[in-house]
Amino acid sequence: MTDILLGVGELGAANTPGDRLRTLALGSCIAVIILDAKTKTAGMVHVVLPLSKTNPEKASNLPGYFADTGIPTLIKAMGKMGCNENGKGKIVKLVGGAQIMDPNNTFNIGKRNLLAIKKILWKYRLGVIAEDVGGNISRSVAVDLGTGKIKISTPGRDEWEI
Amino acid sequence: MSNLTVTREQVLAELNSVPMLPHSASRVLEISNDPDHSMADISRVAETDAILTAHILKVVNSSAFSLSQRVDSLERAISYLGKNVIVGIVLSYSLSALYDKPLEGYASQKGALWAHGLRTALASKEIVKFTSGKHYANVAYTAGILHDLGKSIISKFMDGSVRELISSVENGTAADFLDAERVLLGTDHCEVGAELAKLWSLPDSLREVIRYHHRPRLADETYRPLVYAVHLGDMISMMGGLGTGADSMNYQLDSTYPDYVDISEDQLTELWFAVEQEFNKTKSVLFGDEEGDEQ
Ligand SMILES: [Fe+2]
Ligand SMILES: [Fe+2]
Repeated sequence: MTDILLGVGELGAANTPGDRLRTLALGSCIAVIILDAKTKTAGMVHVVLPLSKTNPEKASNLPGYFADTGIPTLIKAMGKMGCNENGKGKIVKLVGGAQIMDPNNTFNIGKRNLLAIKKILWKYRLGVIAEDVGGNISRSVAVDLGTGKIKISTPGRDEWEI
Repeated sequence: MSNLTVTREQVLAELNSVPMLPHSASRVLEISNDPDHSMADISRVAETDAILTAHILKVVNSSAFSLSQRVDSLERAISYLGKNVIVGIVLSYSLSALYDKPLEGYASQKGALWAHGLRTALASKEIVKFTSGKHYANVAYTAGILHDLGKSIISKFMDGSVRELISSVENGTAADFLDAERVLLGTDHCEVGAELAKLWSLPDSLREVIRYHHRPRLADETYRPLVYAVHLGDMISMMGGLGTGADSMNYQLDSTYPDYVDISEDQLTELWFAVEQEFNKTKSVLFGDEEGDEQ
């Protein structure tokens, strides 16, 4: 039973039942969670911003920071653990992408992240089967490798699952 | 604590039991409020406080810096650490009684208020450069650290009411969390913080930020560029996942901000990035590299 804690912009994958992949306080960041049914592998990346062109140097040091570099790198990392390096047999869940209360959507980085992520997933022919995104709450996530269940928490509320 | 009986007067009376700010801290705040202050000015204040001096030397000699030699003089310590880190040390040391506890009323953990303040400070210092108040860069930093001061006072009066506060924002009874605090207590963290600032004789600029950071359009015209900068800095801090708990992101962005802050979405994204790096660096100097929940 190991907790693998992913920091801001980090990614990781695991396939030992009982282990958990976790990331904290997403705010407008999005956790992209990819589950591979055949190998029972789960991968997660904590995406901060949509596009690596903002800072190519950062993208090469910490590819998970950006949606367009994070998802391909995660899929490759899962490939090293025996998964196909394409969309076959994988399902995707998304968590995070919250925003402040802003009727004009000027600062909606969460939404921009979500759009960028979906565009890249589309290239892999990966559809999102479940998502808990948007709203005004900062979420923390735990992916249980054994059950594939995804637990979400935020201060002041009961935990829930997707 | 039962919220049914809490009145505004009771909450404000709590301020009587808050210790006064140490002299060295109020001097540092006063000095950093002056746009033309120098490092030497701050060094001179720190020198007069032996415990503070020892604390600064401890930080500079800690593992965060792999210096080959021990640093024994305050002057050298300050030149290593830089002005912002020194101000950070002085404030973290003087405000520890208020900042180093979990905020029950916000369901947030120990350290969250400090991390939120520091992230806001670093963002505000950059954002103020996009306003007509560029000379406020240093003030924006200290104001960012202090802006949510009031939360540490009102938190205990909201213990047990977190769910009630959240649902009043969700069902629209309250416009945002600040409004929800006011419905429950007859006051909010901005008003209480500003009262404390008055009690501590903090400069007007800081008091104005503390009072109006969620409603910048109501601030005194003179300080509005500064207040808007911290307003946006606060938002960036919350979007980066560094809120102070249950209230995080439950605040309204003031739609008039473009009248005072001229910043594009791309500039904001670049700034976000720089601020995060600066934050990680400053935080590890001030507190070491402990991992923990960021909420
Ligand atoms: Fe606030
Ligand atoms: Fe705040």
